[in-house]
This record gives sequence, structure tokens and C-alpha cells, in this order.
Amino acid sequence: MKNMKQFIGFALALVLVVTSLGSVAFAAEGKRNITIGLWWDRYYDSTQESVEDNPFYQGTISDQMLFDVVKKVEEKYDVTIEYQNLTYVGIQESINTSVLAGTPDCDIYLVDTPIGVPAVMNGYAINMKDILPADSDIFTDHLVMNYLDLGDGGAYMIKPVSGQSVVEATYPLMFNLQMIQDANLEDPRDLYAKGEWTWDKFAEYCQALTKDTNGDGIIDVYGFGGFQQEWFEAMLMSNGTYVASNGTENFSAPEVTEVLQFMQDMYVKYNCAYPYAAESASDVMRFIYRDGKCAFSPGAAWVLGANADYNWDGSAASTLEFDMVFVQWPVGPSGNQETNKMKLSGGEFYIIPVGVEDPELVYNVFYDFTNWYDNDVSIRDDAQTLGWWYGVTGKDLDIQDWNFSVMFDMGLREQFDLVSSLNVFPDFLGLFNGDYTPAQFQETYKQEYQDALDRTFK
Amino acid sequence: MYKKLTVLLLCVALTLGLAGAVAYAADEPAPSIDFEDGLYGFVGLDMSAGNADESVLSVVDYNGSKALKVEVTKKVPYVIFEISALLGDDVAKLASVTMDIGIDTGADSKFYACSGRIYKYFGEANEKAYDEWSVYLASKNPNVAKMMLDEGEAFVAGAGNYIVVSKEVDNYATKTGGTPVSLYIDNVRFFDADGNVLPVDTAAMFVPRNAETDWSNLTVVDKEVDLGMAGAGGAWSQGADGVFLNDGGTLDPAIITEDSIITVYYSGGGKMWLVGVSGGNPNGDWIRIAQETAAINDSRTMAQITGAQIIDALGADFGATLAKLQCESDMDWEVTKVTIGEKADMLYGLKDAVDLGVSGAGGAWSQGSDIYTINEGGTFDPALIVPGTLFNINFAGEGNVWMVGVSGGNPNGDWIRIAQGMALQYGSNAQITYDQIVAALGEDFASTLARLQVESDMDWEVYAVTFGTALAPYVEAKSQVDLGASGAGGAWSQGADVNTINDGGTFDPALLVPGTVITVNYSGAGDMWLVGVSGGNPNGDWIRIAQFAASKNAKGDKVQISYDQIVSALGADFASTLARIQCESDQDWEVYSVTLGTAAE
Repeated sequence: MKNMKQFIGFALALVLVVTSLGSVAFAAEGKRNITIGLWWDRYYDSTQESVEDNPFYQGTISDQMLFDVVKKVEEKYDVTIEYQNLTYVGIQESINTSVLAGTPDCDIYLVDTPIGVPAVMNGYAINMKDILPADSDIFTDHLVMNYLDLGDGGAYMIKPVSGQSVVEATYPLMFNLQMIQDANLEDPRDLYAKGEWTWDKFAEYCQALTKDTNGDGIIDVYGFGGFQQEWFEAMLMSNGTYVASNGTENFSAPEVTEVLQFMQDMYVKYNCAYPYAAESASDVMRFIYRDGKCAFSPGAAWVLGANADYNWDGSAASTLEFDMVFVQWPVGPSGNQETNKMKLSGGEFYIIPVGVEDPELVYNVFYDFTNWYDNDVSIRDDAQTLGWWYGVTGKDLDIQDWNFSVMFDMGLREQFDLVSSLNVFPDFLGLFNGDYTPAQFQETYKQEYQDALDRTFK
Repeated sequence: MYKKLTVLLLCVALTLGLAGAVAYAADEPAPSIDFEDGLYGFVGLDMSAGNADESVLSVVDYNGSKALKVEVTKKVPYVIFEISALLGDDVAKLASVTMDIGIDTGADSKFYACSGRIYKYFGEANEKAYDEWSVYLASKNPNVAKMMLDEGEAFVAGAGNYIVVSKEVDNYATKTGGTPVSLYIDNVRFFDADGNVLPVDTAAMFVPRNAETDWSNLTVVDKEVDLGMAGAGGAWSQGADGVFLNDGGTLDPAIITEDSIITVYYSGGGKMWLVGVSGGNPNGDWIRIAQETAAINDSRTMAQITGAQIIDALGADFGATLAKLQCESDMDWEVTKVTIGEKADMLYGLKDAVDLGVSGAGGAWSQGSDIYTINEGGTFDPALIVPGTLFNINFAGEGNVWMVGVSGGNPNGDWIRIAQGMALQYGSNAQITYDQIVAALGEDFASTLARLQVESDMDWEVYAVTFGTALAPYVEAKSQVDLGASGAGGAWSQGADVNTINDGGTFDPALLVPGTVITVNYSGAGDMWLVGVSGGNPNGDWIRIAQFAASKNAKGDKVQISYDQIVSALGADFASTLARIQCESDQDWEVYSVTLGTAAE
């Protein structure tokens, strides 16, 4: 009895010590819980027991597949998966504290570029090229996964592929097909295919298509018309350059000088760009094409959809008589058709934080989890969902398919650049009027970009 | 053996525990405020934001010590810490603040992450900036929140600077629709630039902010521009000059148009008007403007003179010769500010308002705070947008706010701005009506509307978007006469009777004519309306009037029932049979007064 009491006392003390050490060394029975930190509630993960636990459940095949993939991944990898809604501020704090401390709170984080890019710059994200084989889908086919190329050779910010996420926010160059044909010009799409679609050729076309159609001495149709924001963004990418991709402004770079010179030349030297609106330019300049007053213009699905140009569901009274066809932007003197980026990055990315246990496992779990459609992109890129993206850009099915393919091609080539997100508004009207030389323009605004970057990457 | 081992292990446990406590104590300096003394008079609520919550503040036991509890009732709590009073002149040394912030679990006992801001109001003019905090994991609850002054930011002694702690993201409330979780604040540390903790006087008191301006007898104005006029003087003296370009000043007389409203903010208790001083004005070079006709509020703190009154006094061509405008009063006066603005949009009240659960922020000309409809997998049914309904956007931002309709197959277009520059907008709220939606999207918008977004021409942040039935805006009635009624009652009981001459009382119902309104001043959590009790009214002798449809003021303690609403309920010939008017509410109520007045414009 005495020995028993002593033994019990000893056992209790032992428990007390183990507790005091604070590192309860129990073996991790059960599965590893892969946690995905994000800032809203997403479904499904291992905490849902029924497909109807998703309040947005609509009974679709996709819903069921999204639910079923959880079990498949659990069994394949012997893990559970859990979304953790940390709030947007919580994501930032978690990355900046727990990853810095070497003990990430989550195995993978959803980020946007304002969070993800600084995390990469601070060394908090794992480079997928360090843990995955070179022939992984993320580096090759991009069927399921892609990544944001920050120009540093790494692959830190990964992005699940879906049809809509690829094509949205793309701004191809669009042209009035009938104007090209009437002028007996070679189709720009063919020129691009041959690698001959360059700035020089583009300027040549714009001049050829600028016309006084009624002989009154006043130009009625211009080769080009467009809003400066997406035009500038596209021209930067077409020349292989950028303005605000890291903490140092690139607005003052010589490649940007080339861009600004070309844009000014379209107005001052060649007089082939539609006069720039001094007021409400975003509303006016984007839709010049609709009246047949310009041949080329920056295009987008939403631009053509804003006025139901092609009546894609048959409910509009009329459509534009001419076809607007998408083509990739011409290549500038400092650009390269193979490597040029074509879409400013946006949307959601994921990072696997430094310090996570077995990051390759985490990636593979995430990859399979994301591939809920089991490589059948027709389920993922549902025809009904994407129907608008096809139908809104043209009345001819071939043109719809073509335009979609251009948007998709461009959408796979993302460029991170905060050029239009820094609340810096250079006087492009003044540039087009010849009030500045490009060098003066750069000198005037480069510090504003730098100040904005300093605030962003503080 | 066991005995010795037991003693050894107990010693080890004790040592480890002490070591942990000592380590913790060595790392953290003693807080400026730990609430152990139970004092919290230095905190209060900032109710200036449209989504501000009337939280309940108290000191409670939390996490092993006393802490400030912020019990949230519905919206976003904004808790002011009166740092200027707490720190005195030392507020100028303040460089950073840390505090422990903890949150309750939800009603389901689960942890839900929250986040918010610590706003810093600094400098001579109480400029505003903020840092953010979060409690994002159960294992890190409470968490340490930190506010730091950035370069160029500094608190100033005597300037009334303060900080505000808010909780703006509540995952429990967002996910479940339940009451937001409570917040706990403890171990507040005020650091100087060298990392030393600054001592405070916890007996300091919070200074209530006057969130409601006395607009009685005045026109509510918007887009006010400060004219830079201020000063003081004795009765019948002139001052607080605003000097115009004609006299080497900076004010351009062209800013004064017929529709302008000049508002003088003053004290002194007297009337207030303007004096126009000119050089070569054919009407005269020294002219009093609206001396007897300037609108003045009941508290005699604001006076308004219109552009039309200036033109009437000085002539249509006043701009060519106007040298200065001065303030004058019939009593000693002090003017703190003079502004020029325009008549504000009167916003509708909202009945049966539903919070659509969206928020967000964006730069100028960006869209966000998407409201997805059932046409695009969302939950909002666009068929609910019918005549008489509207969206109310509660926001922060300097620009115009409107909505964007994104559709799939709308013949008018699939991306259309709605009420751009035309939304009813005042303060932190903008409203888009059914009529504006139809004007933009067409009458058949409901079948194709995929989502609605918010957009602005300047940087914006949306706190909430609500949807409901529009109620006529509440505007304080003019010339109100107290009808001598008061009382209290339970939910659905009637009382605070106004007896008419038809029933031996003193109120003549014939005084209820077009343009008159009855105002009920009350307290209670529910709505308030009237009941008409009659003798021989063909419509009925017991009829509710404007039930759930009376205009209500922002504070929720006054409702207004119009003549038209009385006629709609009782019929046009109500006066001959109306015996008494009673008050009724859907919650326990107390009525302090019932008045008859004239509806303001």
C-alpha cells in the first residue's frame, strides 16, 4: 500500500513535469492535418461530413466532385485537409510572424499579390523549382497548376488553372476585320504566327488605315484608338518590360522610353491615333471602335460585352456589322515573342511557407485537391459558365473560338506589375499632345512611382 | 525510491513553472493600463461611422486578470482611448502602443478569427491613419496588437489626439449571421521612441464626441468647403473676415452661386448674419446680409445664409466688387468656422433592411463589394428589387459612389454603371433606387443580372450594403407644438393619448392639414406608430396609422407620421370622428412628447 501511494505520487509528479515542459511528447497518432490559410470560408475540406454542409451547394456534378476529392486525397496521402479562415489581416500577420519564426501556422497560404510578393521578397515562400521535378505540370503543360513568374527565375507563387481565371482581365489588341480586308492587308494573326507582328508593322498598318473617307480634308477613321491605361500596360509587356514589379521603379528604364516614344509617335509623328479625350477618357476612348472610327483598339471581353456588341444570347436588337478580332500585341524592339508577358497578374495565388514539414507532400496534396475534376477540363471549365466569354466577343462561332484562344494564350503569360495600382496618374494627354518628351515624362513621374512602391513594400 | 523520485520531479516541475513565469515577466515591461484598478472612464465609443456599434463597455475577469470587455451588439465597435487625457503632455512622446486583444468564441463555442484596426488621430488637425490587428488562431488568442507612428506622424499635446480600436472583420458574425463576438483589451502599453513605457493617469475621463449636429431650422448641407473665416468679437462688431480676390485675398466670389449655402459655426447665443464689404458696389459698400432672415438652429450654434440672400442684398453683380464678407451678431460672438456648401441629398430610411453581407475596399474607378445574384450562384434574388426598394451603401471615401450592374445577356449591356454621380449621397451613405436601376439596366434586368458592384471615382471602402424598402427621410419638423401627451407601456399596448375635442379633450383634429406632421419623441427598441380611435369613422374606429412605416430619425428616438399617412389610414374626413390618437410600439416603449408641426422641406 505504501509503495502504491509512493508510486501514485511519482506518477502524478511525472505528469506534472511533462505538462510543465509544455511540449507534450505524445506521438502524433492519426493523420497529418494539412492546413490551408485563407480569408474566407471555402468548401469542402475534411471538416464537412455532407455535401450539403456547403451553404452554396447547388446539387451540381462539380459540387459532388469537390466534396468527393477530399476523401480521395485523404486516403491517398493519409492526411486530412482543413481550410482555416484567418482573415486577410490574419494571413499577413501569420506569414510575417510564424514563418519568420520558423514555425508556420499553416502549410499553405492563399495570398494576393500585395501579400504574396512581399512574402517572396522576404524569403518566406518555398521555390517550387527546388522541390519539384522539372517536368511537373506546373512548369510544363499548366493543365492544373501554373505559377507567377516574378522574373527572378523562381516559382514561388502558385496558381490553380481554370478557364475563367486565365482569360479574365486579358486585354488583347483587337482589329476591325473588314477594315483589314478592305485595305488588302495581310491578317495580323498570320503575321503574329510568322513572327512578323512587330511595332513597326503595327505602326505601318495604323497609318495605312487612317483615312479621310469623304475627301473633306478631315480624318474620319484612325488606325488606332484606345484608353491609355490598358494600352500602356500592353505596350510595356510587348516590349518585355514593366514599371513596378519590385521595390525599385522601372519607369525610368530605356525600354519604357521606347514604349512612351512609340505611343507619342502614334499621335505626333504618324497622326494615326484617334484624338485623345480630355474628359471621361476611360468612357470615350474604349468604345471609339464601335462607330467604325478606328481599326485597332485594346480589346477585352467586358468591353465588347458592355454594349452587347454581338448580342450573344440573341436578346439584343442588333449587333455591330463588322467583326472585331483579337490578336496578341505586336512585339517591341526590346521584346521577345516567346517570352513576352501578356496579362497583368491578379487574383489569387498560393505559397508554401518556408519551414513547413515535407513541402513536396504539401504541394502534391494541394495539386490533387485542386484537380478535383481529374484532368477533365470540360468539367472545370464548364461550357455554360464560359459561354459568356466565348459568345460576347463575336457573332461568328469561329471568331468566338479564336478570340477565346487568344485570351487564353495571353492569360497564361502573367506579368506582375503594379503600374496601374499605385494611384500614380501620369499626364498621358500631355504626352500625346507633345507637351513632354518621353524622357521628360519619365523624369516627371519616376519619383511618384518610387514613393508609391516604398509605401507598398514598407 | 519513489519518494525521492517524486520529490525530484516536483522540484523540476516547480522550477520549470517559475522559470516560465520569470521569463515572461522579464520580457514584458509593466503595462501602462492593466485595468486591475477597475477604472475605464478614459474609454468611450466613437459613433461617428455609419456602421458604429453601441457596444457595452465594462471591466471583467478575462484570461486570469481584469480586462476591458467590449460587448458588441450588432455592428462594428469603435473604442476610443483618450490618450491625450491619459498621458497629458507626455502624449507628444508617444511613439507606439501595444495591447493584448482577445476575442470570445462564437455561440457554438468554436473559435472564429477576427481582425480590426487601431486608428491614430494625430497632429494639430487630428489627421487619421491606422494599423491593423488580428486574432487569427485559437492558440494565439489573445494576441498582441501594435500601433506605431510612421514618419511624419506625431501626437501633439493639447490637440485632443486619440486612438480608436475597432473590430471590423468578425468571421463568426459573417458565417452564421449571429451577434458579433465580444472583444477584450488588456495590458495596454504606451511606449516612447526609446521603448520606455509611459505612465498614465487612469482617472482620466473620456470626452463624448457630438455625433449629431443640431440641424433644426437649417438645411442639411453637403460638400462643405471651409472658407477659412474665424474670429471673435463683441456684440455688433464685425470680424472673422473672408477676403476675396478683389481685395488681395484668396476667396473667389465665383464660388457663391444662388444655390450656395454658407454655414457659420459660432457661439455666443445671439443671432448671426453676414456683412458684405465692397468697393464700388452700386447697392452700397457696407451691407448687412440676412440680418433678420438668416436661418439659425435652436441651439444658436449655426447660422445659414444662402447665395440667393447674398445676391438679394448685394446685387447680381456682387462678384465684381465684393472685397470681404464679415460675421456680425447682436451678442458677443465667436466664429470657429464658415463653410460654403450645397443642399445635401436627403437619404431615405430603410424598412425591413437586410444586410447583404458584403464589404471591401478599392481604388478609384475599381469595382468591388460584389453582391452575387442567384443568376450567378449567389444568394440575392434580383426579383426582390421592385418599385420602392433601394440599396444603401455605407462607406468611407471622398468621391461619388454608385453601383455597376454586371449581367449575362442584358440587351442594354452586360457592364453598366448605375446612378454614376447621381446616387443620393450624404455623409457615409449612398443610395441607389429601383428607378435608377431600371433607368440603367432596363425593366427586365432581373433575369440577367449576375451581380452588383460598388464603384467610386475616388478610393473607397464599403462597410456594408443593405437592401430594403425606402421610407421617407426624417426631417425635423418646424414650429412644433407639444400636444401634452406622454406615457409608457409594454409591447403592443397603446397609450400617451392625445384626446381631441370630439372626446372632451383639447386637441382640434382640424389642425391636421396637408403639410403637417406628428412627431413622437420616445425611447424603446422597437418601431413606433399611432393608433386612431374614432367614433363612427366609416373606415373603422380603431386603426393603426403608419405601422412600421413612420419616418425615423438616425438616432432612433423620434418618428414622424404625416398628414398623408393619417388620411391613408383614417380617410379624408377623419377630423369629425377622431376621438383620440394613441402611441403604440412592437417593443416596450416610453413616450416623452407628441408634437404637431409643419413638415420641413
